[in-house]
Amino acid sequence: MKKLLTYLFISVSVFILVSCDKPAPTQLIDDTTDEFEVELLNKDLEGEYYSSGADTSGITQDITGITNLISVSGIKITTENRTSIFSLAQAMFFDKSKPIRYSNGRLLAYKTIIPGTIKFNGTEAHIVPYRIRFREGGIPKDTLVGGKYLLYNISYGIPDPFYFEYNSNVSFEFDPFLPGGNISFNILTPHEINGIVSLTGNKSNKNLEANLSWNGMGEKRVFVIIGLLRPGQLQSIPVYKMKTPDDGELKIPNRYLNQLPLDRFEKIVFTFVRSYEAYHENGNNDLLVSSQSIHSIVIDIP
Amino acid sequence: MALNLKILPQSSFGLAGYWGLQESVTIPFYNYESNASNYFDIKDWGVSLQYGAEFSGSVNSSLYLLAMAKKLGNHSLSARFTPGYQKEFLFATGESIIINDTTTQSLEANYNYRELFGLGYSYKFDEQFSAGLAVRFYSQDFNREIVKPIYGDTLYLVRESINEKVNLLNADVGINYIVNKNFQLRAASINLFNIEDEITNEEFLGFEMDQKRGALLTASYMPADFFNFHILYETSNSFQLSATGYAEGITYGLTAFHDYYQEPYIAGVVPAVGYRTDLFEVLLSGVKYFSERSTDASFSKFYEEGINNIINNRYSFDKIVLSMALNISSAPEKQVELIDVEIVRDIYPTFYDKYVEQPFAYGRVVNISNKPVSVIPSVKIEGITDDQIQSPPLNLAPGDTAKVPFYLIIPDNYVIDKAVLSYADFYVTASSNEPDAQLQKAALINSINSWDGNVANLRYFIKRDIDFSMNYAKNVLGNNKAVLDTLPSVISIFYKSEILFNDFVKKLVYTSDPRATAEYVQFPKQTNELKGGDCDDLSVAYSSLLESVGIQTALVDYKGDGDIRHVNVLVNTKLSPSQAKFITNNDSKYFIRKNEQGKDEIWIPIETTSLTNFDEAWNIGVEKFNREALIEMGLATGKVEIIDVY
Repeated sequence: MKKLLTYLFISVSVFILVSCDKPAPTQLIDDTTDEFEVELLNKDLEGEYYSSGADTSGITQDITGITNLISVSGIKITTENRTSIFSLAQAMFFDKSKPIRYSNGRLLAYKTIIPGTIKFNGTEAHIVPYRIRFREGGIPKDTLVGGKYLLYNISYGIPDPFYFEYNSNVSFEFDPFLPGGNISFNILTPHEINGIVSLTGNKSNKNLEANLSWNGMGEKRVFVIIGLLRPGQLQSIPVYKMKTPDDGELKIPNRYLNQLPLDRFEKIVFTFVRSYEAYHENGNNDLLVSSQSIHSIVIDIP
Repeated sequence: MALNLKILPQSSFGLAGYWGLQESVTIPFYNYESNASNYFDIKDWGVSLQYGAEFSGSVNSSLYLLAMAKKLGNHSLSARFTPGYQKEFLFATGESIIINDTTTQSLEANYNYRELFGLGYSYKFDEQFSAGLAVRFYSQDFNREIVKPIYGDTLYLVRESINEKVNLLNADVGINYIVNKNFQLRAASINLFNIEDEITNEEFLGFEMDQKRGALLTASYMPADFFNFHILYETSNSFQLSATGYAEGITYGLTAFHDYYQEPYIAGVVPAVGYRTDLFEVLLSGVKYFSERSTDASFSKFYEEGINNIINNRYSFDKIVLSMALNISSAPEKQVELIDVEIVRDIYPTFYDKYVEQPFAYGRVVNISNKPVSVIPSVKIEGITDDQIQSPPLNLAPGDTAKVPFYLIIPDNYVIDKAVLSYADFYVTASSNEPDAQLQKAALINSINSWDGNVANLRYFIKRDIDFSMNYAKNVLGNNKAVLDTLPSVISIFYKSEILFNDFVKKLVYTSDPRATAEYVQFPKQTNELKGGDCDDLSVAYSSLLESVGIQTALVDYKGDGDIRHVNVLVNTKLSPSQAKFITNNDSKYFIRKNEQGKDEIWIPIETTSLTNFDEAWNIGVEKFNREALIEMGLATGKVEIIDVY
């Protein structure tokens, strides 16, 4: 009897061992504000950076998917405790029947058209040539795609008396050359964004640590663009675009900075962007309206 | 990331509920959670497993626990393997990457907390008090996807996994105190000793198990077998209340637990019902939580509050658990108990076969089983016997107590020069090879020259040195061959006795015992070497010489009054009364005894302390024998006793 029970016990144990799985796992739903999305903006850190010119934050943007664009921005650039303030408004309208292609046939952009006059906050925008610069086969090139509407204010209404108001509206008016009704609407502007960067460690030890903070509004998301500046250069090369909740803080995982060839660069630029973007309700979803508060902080890489 | 996450190793929760220190159920005692003292009640070997299913929407079956236990006297050892003691969490890391400008991929992580195995040890100091410790080994497996920038000619982002295994060794101690049959107490530490690998990857910092120290206290009130009540309190402010019972093989229990880290106040219950025999035990238990459980949960809550127990936390699911235990004891149940032993005789090694006939000790044995048993007493004395010397078996009815004799065999070549105090181990064995009970007693082992004063026991001294005596006697008789050859055979014994006396005894001197307080008897060889001895030594030597050449002798014990005793020798001449004239015409110089065939034979008394010559020794011996044995009726009154050597 004892032997029988022993064999039975062993048999049951073996059966259990081979038949069982492990306890059910628990899937944790991320309801924190720690998340962020990272996008690599530029693979080539060696050459000159070429922009589509469509985005005032200084980042590259694929404009092939955009039919028409109206953009207003309030821009601040902080360098060594000095902050410069700019306002900018621009608009561009593309003719989808006139594509511009790379030599291999890949779509680069579309030709633009000038369909009428445009005013921002009652000031008529200038029509300026619209060039996009790109790199093909390692060779820098640029091409004229047409004209675009532009207003910018560098200081006290110079050259244009366009003033970007935060948490307010920018009025937009369009008067077409062809017969038809005028179009006007207000563009909602976001709250001003004020960033602070704490950059510790040093590049030689590859232990740079960046803790970012800003005046979080707790709604939607902000972008943080990280760019690099070579010695003597004015235009940064954007490297990463990180999207994170507008909660006022972000610790950049150290690996993102320390894996870069920082010894070839002098400065690092953290650009905070709080933006509103929406397609204008004209029934066609072909007019993207964007307003942005941008704060770029330029820091020497320790 | 998160810091100080409250992820704790196991505390007191067990999948079969809490049972206190109850002996009617074995399985829960393999749960070190509430039993850090490793308390369990098995007789020899025990094997236990817990297999169950977790209901999380789907059903996941797991082998929760496989345990082995062994009892070695007052020591208890156990080991358990716990593959089902684990909890895995899957979650998005919060980090995502945009691939090819449009596709967003979220990065994921899984953290798995596992208790792998444990070891337990305890020592039972007495029936009331025991203490022990449990050591448990945990593994924390962290796996996480990250985005890593790689820079060569160009910069690109790769998605890769990083992982780290962090081991944790945790030890706790516990004590049990059985105040009486109805009331029992236990105390144990929680996370007393912890040795943990250091986390090297900063991504996982803060997710390791916490090792917050604490303690648990339990009390059991057990008014009757069929109803017991237990309370267990942890210093984390969690507690368990349970009621258990045992009746006619059926075990049953219900445990309600309050977990400081779970809602509602009574977080759940563990009902259990089982069946137990001496050989096996089966227990079916369940864990029912009173709060709603889901396979999806908030990361932020996990981040803020962690878990305090791997198998019992806010993310645990209802379970049903089948526990089985097998008592594969190789030692049968104790059937008899040895109450006491009394040593009734000192041990004289020279009396080598005396204790085969006469027990040197008696024990009191009780049959504690419910059936008749056959009890075999045995004894082993350090320094004398290597093996247990068994005595005849004795049958005992249930509940009966009996007096059992312990016999002893001393090797005839055993030599000890001085008396020593040794130890005798007494055993009683019923129906198996292993003793049911044993007792140890001090026993005095005398030297080989020691004698208990009983003349009858001088025969052992006569026999022991028989080789020396034979050589000596044959040599002497050989030297007198010419004389002996001329004598009629019928009187050869007489003359051999005379020759041996005159050759051996005559050259000796009388000396009293060298020891004042103990009887000391020399072997014939020692007497020859020492050239003397007292009446015991001389009678032993002379008798041994005669016996070695086939001459029958007897010792005459003159008991006298008080301490004055004397011994000399009777020699069987093998002459018939009608042949007595060949050696003497004085019929008062011999004594007639019947042999085994009923024929009369002439015996002559020889006083061995008369160290002159044979005739003189004969005359003195006759004079003493006639006076004390015959005239004063010593043989009739017992004051004189004739003891045959063989």
